[in-house]
Amino acid sequence: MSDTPYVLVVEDDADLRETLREVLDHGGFENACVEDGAQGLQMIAERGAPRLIFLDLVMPVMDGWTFLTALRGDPRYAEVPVIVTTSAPSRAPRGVLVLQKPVTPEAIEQHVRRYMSAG
Amino acid sequence: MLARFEIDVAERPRPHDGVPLQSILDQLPAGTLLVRPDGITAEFVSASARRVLGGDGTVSALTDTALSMRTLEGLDIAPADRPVARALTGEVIEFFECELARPDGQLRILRVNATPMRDASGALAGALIAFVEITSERLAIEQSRRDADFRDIFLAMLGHDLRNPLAAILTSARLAIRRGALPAGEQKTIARIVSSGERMERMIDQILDMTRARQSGGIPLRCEPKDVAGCVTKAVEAALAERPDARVALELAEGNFVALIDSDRIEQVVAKLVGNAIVHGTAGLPVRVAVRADGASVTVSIHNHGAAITPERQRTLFDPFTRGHSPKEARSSGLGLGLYIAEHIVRAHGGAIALDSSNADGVTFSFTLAQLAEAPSA
Repeated sequence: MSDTPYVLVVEDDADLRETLREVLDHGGFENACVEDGAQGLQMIAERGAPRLIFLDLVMPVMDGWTFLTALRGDPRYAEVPVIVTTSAPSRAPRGVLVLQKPVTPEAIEQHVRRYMSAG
Repeated sequence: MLARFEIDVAERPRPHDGVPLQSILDQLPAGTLLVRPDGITAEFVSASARRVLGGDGTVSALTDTALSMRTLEGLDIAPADRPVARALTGEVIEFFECELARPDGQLRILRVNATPMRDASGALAGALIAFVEITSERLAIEQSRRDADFRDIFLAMLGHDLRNPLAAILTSARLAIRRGALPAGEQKTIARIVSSGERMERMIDQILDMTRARQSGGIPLRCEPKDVAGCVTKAVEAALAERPDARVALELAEGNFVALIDSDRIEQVVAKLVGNAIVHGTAGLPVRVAVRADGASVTVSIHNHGAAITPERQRTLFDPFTRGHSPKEARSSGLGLGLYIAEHIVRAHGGAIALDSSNADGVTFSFTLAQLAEAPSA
């Protein structure tokens, strides 16, 4: 477990994942980027709760809906803020903030700053 | 419905009021035949039955257990489970759907009724079979299923597979601009990547929306009680951000403008109509956007002072992939889907877009939404 606040990105598209990592690095935000929901849960188990999660929905191995259900079902992580980044906002689960892809670097930084400072 | 009739199986075909029974059967659109207790010999085979089952009246496609008969799921049907055999054990079969092979190898799909027939003494005298051919109907259903599968794949490709790399391109290009310190030439090049990427993104959105609009489910909505005036204001601000040189007068009457809407979608409609009004209006005269409520409905209208839309153009205005022939429309970089999608969004909200156009009064697009009494959600 690490005490360093970090942002978790769960995104299966390698280029997009790398782009999001660059945006977060550029903003000076500690981050971890993984390629599916299962790796996301594994990362949380290893590093503890992230300050914020950017979550894709359609992914192989474990999709975003399943990841979110597992996260919300664990009392330790149920309150972790999640922002769904998706191409199809109408399919997003209710009760989470949804950003339609492509998300601008400004929007990403704005949200991360809000949640990082809230912690 | 399948033909159901009674027949005196003890009697042979005979003239009936001057008309032979076989002639009557031959006029029926449904196939009919009477199979004797041996399960093989058939009589009263109608012309329709001979045509569908093939052969010369021996009707082996239904009675020859050596020939294949399958369920519509493709499972073999055992001889004892076939309609003729079951009816000959006294069972009444209704609407039994199966695919059978004719002696010539051709496949036919039938919906079959089979009824045991008894003579005056109550002894089993045969099985009366009536059927309709549903090969075309089933193939159409199968084609429709394949089309739906194709649409799903197409939508997934557009919505996810194509948009993800575009998102990477746009976010990377925007990040490069944000990092700054680029030579002026490269700054311009990357700005062009962003603007072209954004154009492609709008096209993907439109094709996706058009495809959804044409599906039975239509464009999906996430409706909540919202202030329509707030949506309209945001859409006008967005339109003015795109065209800072334009003049738009926003008129909000006093009152409650709450309706059950998908606010993003209504903003999309208003932005489209305001964008069009700016393009087609008269330079120097403002586009007028008004929101009013009458206690039962909220009406949004967008007016410009441009030339009237001809009746011919009005007929196809909301059709997909249509553009007018005016120089302004010809220069448009869009797909000609904006008004088509806007109308579908309004229709999904239970309304319709109305058009009022004349050279004297200009052009007004308006739509109405059912008003809610409740306060808007936060």
